[in-house]
Amino acid sequence: MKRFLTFDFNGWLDYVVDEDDQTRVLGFRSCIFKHNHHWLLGGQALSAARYKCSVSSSIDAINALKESSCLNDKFSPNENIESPLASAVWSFLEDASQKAEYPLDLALVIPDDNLFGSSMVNRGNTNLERLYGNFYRSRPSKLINRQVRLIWRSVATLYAALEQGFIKFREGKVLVININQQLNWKLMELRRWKHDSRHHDTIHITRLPSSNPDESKLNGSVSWMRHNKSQEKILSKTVDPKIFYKSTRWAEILAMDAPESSIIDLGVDPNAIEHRSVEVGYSTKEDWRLVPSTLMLNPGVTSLVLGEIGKVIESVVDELGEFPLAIVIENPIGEKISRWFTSLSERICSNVNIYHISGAETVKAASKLASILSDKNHHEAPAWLDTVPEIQVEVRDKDTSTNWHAIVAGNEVIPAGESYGSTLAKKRRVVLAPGIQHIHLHLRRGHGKPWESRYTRLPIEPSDYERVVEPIARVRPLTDFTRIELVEHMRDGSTQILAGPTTSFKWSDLETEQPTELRSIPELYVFQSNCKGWLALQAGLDAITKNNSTKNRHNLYKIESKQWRDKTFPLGSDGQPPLDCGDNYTQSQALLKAATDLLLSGLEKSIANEDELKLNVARKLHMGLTWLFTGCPERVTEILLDAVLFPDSKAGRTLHVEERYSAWAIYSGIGRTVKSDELLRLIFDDLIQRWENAGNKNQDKFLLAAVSHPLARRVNAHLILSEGKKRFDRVKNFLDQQLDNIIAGEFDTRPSGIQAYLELRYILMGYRGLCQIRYDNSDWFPVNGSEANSIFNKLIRLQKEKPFNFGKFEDRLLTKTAPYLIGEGKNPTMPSGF
Amino acid sequence: MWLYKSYREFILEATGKIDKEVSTRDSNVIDCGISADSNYPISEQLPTGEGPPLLVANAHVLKAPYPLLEGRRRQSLPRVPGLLRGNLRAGIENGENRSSEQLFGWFIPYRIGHEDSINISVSAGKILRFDVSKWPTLHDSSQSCTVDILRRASNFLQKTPYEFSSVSTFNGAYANLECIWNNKELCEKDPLIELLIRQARQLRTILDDLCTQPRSVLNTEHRMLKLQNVRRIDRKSVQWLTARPGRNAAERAGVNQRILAPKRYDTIATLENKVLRAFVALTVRETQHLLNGNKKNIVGKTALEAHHFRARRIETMLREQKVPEAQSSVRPNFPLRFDPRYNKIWRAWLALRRASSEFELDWMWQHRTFMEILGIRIAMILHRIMDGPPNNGLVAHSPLLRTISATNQGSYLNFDENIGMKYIQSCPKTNRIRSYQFEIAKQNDQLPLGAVATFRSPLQCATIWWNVPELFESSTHSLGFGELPWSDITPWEPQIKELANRIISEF
Repeated sequence: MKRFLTFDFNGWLDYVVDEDDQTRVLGFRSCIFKHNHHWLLGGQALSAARYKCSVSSSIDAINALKESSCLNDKFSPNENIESPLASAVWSFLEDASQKAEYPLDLALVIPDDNLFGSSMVNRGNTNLERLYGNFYRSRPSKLINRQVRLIWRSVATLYAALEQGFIKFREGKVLVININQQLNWKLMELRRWKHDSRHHDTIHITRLPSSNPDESKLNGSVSWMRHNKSQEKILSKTVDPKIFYKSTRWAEILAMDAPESSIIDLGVDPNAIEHRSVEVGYSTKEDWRLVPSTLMLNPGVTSLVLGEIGKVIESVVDELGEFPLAIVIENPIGEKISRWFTSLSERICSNVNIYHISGAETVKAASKLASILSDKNHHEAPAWLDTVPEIQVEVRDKDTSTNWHAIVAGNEVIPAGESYGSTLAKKRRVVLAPGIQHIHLHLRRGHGKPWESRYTRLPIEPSDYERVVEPIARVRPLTDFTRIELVEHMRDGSTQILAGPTTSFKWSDLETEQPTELRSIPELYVFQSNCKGWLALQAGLDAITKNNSTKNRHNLYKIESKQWRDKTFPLGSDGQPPLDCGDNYTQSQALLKAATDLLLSGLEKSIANEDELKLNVARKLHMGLTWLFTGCPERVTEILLDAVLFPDSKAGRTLHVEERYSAWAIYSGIGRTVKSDELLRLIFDDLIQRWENAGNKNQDKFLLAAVSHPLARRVNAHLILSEGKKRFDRVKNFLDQQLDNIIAGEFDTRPSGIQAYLELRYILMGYRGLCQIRYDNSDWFPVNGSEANSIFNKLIRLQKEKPFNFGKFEDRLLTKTAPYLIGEGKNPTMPSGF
Repeated sequence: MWLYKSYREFILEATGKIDKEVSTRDSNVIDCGISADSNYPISEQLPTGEGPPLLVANAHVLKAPYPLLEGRRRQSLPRVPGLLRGNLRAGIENGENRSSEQLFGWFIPYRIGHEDSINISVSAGKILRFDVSKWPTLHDSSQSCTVDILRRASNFLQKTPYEFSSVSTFNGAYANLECIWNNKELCEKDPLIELLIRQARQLRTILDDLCTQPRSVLNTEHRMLKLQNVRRIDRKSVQWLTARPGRNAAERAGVNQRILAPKRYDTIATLENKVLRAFVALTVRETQHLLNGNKKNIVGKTALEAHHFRARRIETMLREQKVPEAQSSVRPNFPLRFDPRYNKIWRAWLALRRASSEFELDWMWQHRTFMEILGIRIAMILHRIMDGPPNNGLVAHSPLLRTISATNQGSYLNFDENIGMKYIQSCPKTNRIRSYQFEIAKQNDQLPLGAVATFRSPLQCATIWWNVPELFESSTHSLGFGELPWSDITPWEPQIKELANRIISEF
């Protein structure tokens, strides 16, 4: 077990547990002083400062301790600032190690106040981390292997009370009050806890988190050791009160309110001249004065402290619960308080016992806790338990509302210094919209209000299907160590860490502002395969494969309006059948492939033979395939594009591309089935160029179908557009012109009359796809740009004026789509559907 | 530049205890006659007494780092505290006698071992050579008492700063210091013995292991081998062979039928084994010296004897295997750094070398140690006296720190800065307060050359000297103490108490 040199700088009567494991008084309000590049500590520091007539340059150790936690705030993050207290303490430890036969490590007792107990992160670290870092980095080269342990004073006090048998080991709450330079109180808990490797749970000290000081009465501090104004007036006639306070420790000795013998028992001579002499004519002339023993700096300090304790207990006693264990008071103040305890317990809380623990017992307990903390089996039998901060994620439960679900519950405990890892839970699953390139989750952390709100921005490979992810967290209390990882739930039920450039990210790296992408880039339109839809398709496919005939191919499948509405698609956006639909998944895939291959071979054979088919037969040759959307083989799209681009080719002639109904089936089929980058380039370049060559003004519903389908559904569409601004502009101009045309009442009457609602739907889908360009080139189609605003205004005007009949679907689609153009869309992280 | 034959003669003159006319007649001060622009690079051997002389020169005549001790322990000479000429005859030039003139004094070390001369460089190429053949050495039986006291003084001074660094009040620190002062076991405490015993226990298995299985390497050497014994040939062999006349290998091998061929063999003559031999050789020397010496009550003598014989056995084995001893400046190779066995040997060798030379350094600069311990002892007794009555006591104290430098040259405390303390004494009748200040002298203090400390009251200032007990009775402003602490001949304690009473009683 490691041995520790444990310091307790409480600002009143400081203690140290020395190399012989003996508790010694370090002195009243010990200070540090820099003497020729060498930091001194304790009595030697004060005396050296007085010897050099520079008492004002000495630093009280309690202040230096607090400053150690915010030293780096004044400097750049990469700058290592030497902590004076750390230098002095390590020098002390180096000297003590010379006398010890074994290596000594360093432990510090720290106050459980809002400075160190706060989980607020400033410049990447909490105050506690900065304090630890400063002491850790200040180790001299000879002591580079030494450990540093920080022990809460409240925990040490409660541990001392448990060690002495004041409190029985059972569950309940304890109020711990530490009376030092400040009066600190903290509500602690004894809780049952069991490590996974142990069979039985045991009672452990649990440190509850510090709440917002304004809202909580469970923890807090009061500064009580003040100067007495009337005495300052008396002092000012002879010496400067500030120098007096800095140079002497007379105020602390008087505040002990204890007989001389009690102080001598502590190892301090209260009448020693070094405690009560002050230099007059400071730094110019050596003229020493003695402080008369009758001078009372803090008369009635005991009653002041007692009054404060009374207030604290009165306010907190209700929070101790139905079965409060005790109130423990660490108190170096003297004997009067122990008499007062009895009357207090009778007056305020007769059912709660009040126990008294001395400062020496506290620091001794802290030394033991430091040893336990450094034990290799500490995680199984911890020194104390820390409460982890709650972490929540915002999840959309239904289409309309979102709820916060806890990733890490606020009442979880963890052995001190360890980190906590959360497990998976179904309610935290988030569905990622297809096509998104960054995961934007909204998280928050804390122990209640105010929460720290953060947004993730984890880049991922965009997909054309919905992915289900779930955040898990690893967190260490009171540090910046909070890492969020995303686990993907795969379609086969397994889980794996979401693939991406980074597998996890620090809390401090998360964004505090809501990212603009969330409201300016809509989700892609996807199909989720549905069992009902698949069963309907399966029958057709079975008929084709069993008979080895394409006889029934003409009526193979077509998605009806009801299916659109109910989203009962047979195949997903990835072109695959549903996973959980009776038959073996691979058998379903094989069936699909066999049937499509058969249909494709029929199509190819007809084209190769240049069969002279009737118009409706020629159309249905490929329509059965193209209604499979991405389940259709890529070869079919190539054939259809070939027919469009080269009407005189075999494909063009066989499929009657010149005929308007056939052309409509071919164009819309291309839009539904196109997948590869090459074919997309052909559509965006060659097909639109032909439209431009034809006058650049025509309303072309056929081309609109071919262009807008992939824009709305395919991930690679915006990647193809990102390859060049010229291509993007060409597509955008095309869509703009189509929009202008329908606003002007110019519609494409092919193939069987005006279908304005359909043209509007295609245009809206096209703009949704155009917004995807903002992932890579946000300046091509800026959110605040005049173009986006103009399109938004046109669409809104169209919606208000309704110059033609809108379907419900188009109306809702316009309502959802238009705001994305100007960056006011709905968060697509949790897809809401169309 | 002037030379006093011994510190004793220097201090007698500095304190004015030798009549100037007598001293001139006896010529205890020698004008070395070597100036910085002298044409003679090395002086003829300068005569000295039975101890080290003391070198004095006008301030700024010798530029740092001079004067320098030459030889194995090359280092700058430490200066004598103080810098005013005072009563010294040295420094008087052209008959002008100015006591406030600044002089520097340098200690010259005691000899170590059996060297006959010591060389001191005073400037580039200008060397003073001293005949030291009559000086006492560390191992002279006549010096055993001084050695014991010096060891006790060194141990005391080593412990002093740690007492001050870790106590809450100076009263506590001085109380602890008093206990250490009275601890006679410090005479016996020899860090070298402790180290050897520790090494005997820690390295037992490693040494046994290395004795049976020292690390060996496979070396290749080209030799003229008989043809039938050649197992392999390499480029060098083929080159040699092709240069020989003949039609086949047998003819080329000549009448002796030998060719140049590589021969591989195991050897343990590696750097790590050289270090091992150097370590065991040093261990044998040190343990031999301790076991044959006067010390009878060595704790763990049996372990030391076993360690000695084990080391001797390994040394014999390595000598037989023709493994040479490593020299002092070794750059550790891979086995010495990362092989756990040899790394421990390497560290043990460094520690033993350091420890074996540590007390030699104390011996060299013993004057400084005794002067420093005199200052601390006076501080201890003054603190006891001043802290007694009510409303009297310490108000301020300079820190007591350990010297950071390894080459402390006999000084253990507060490298290049003063140790001082301030006291106040209050008179109950008049309700007046008086301040006192005690300060241990350092080299650049405005004090007479050779002063150890000063004790100031508002009315007077007493200068304290070492090694002039005859001064004590004659003056209140200049007080001398005996040569050695814990000595019955001229004990320090009663004299220090009397000094304090003389100054304090005037209040």
